[in-house]
Amino acid sequence: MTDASLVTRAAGGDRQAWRQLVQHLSDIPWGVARALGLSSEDAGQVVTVTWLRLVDRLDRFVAEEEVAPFVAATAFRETTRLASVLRLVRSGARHAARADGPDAARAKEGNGDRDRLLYLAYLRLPARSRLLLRLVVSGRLHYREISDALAMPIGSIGPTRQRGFHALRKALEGTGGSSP
Amino acid sequence: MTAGDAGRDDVSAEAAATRFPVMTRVHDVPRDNGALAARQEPHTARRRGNRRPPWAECLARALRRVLAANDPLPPGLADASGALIDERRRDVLLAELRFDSAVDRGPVPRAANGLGARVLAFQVADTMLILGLEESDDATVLNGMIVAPRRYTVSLRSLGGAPVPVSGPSPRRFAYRLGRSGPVRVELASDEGAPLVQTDWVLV
Repeated sequence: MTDASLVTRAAGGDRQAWRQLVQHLSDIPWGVARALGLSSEDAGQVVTVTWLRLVDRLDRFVAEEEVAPFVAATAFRETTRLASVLRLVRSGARHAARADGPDAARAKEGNGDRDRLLYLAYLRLPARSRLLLRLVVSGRLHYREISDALAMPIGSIGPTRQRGFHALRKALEGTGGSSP
Repeated sequence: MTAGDAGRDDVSAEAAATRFPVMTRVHDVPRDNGALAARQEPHTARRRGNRRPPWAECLARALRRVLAANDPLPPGLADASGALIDERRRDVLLAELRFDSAVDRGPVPRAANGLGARVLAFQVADTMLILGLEESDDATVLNGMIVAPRRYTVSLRSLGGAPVPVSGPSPRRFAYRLGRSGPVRVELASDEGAPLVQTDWVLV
């Protein structure tokens, strides 16, 4: 839902409006950083610097929908930069280690077996697929905005997303589920 | 260190899959409101009538729920983010980050620029700041060079901290040894009446 006053009020120094804006959009920078394999601590740094960049530019936006693409693009750039500096991940690389790490170990016991398997299958996807699926299912961005934010050809978004969903489906079916 | 590096031996995906086999069908996954999902996924393909197959819609909703449950934003981070509005100043010029050798390809060769392994360039109007970052033991060494038609007094600001004056071998160059990591920005103050210049925040 468009809420122009939320952004403009935040730009005017309204702390409550800013908190609401951050609350609405925090899943974007966090999701980008985590999808690309950053630790919680490093992802937190990306989230912080993304919001700091936005704070300095609040006057440039009117609606929340305009802010989301900026947040995604900034988080992607900062994640890529931090990952490059840390030499831990490379664009498009597989991160099988994450499926064996504490992310998998922390998969919530109470979510059910299928959710656990879905999460594990997600962790096994290539980083770029994880990133794209995370942004797609967040429902905050149009394909054009995702394309701009990730410097990814818009024509490749649909096929990449489709491959990701097929991989998840195959993983679930391969462990005992049946296809719909 | 990544999350994947910490505790890599905690549990393997394969072991977890063995211990927790699928017990229900894939198409039983959706548990939330489909109308909400439709509203939250305004992608262009949908508007062209190229809908995802039902199973993909189910997976998308399930994945959204699973990610929210297993990898949520830490509450402390959400609280800290809410306080960042206090950093906002409207009486300054923002020197935007134009180049970062860590992610941008450009004409500044690494190790040959004399500033550091990582080079950043900020610009606003007629003022440019080039910042080199070099990791050294437990610190990051910042070497800066100012290209501007006026003199500036240089300070370094960390998140939540007061500006720390920095100096260097000449009025247009400065150096500083930063012992902590986190977001920082450089401030350039002129005694000629020009507005304060703040660079974009960067992570070091």
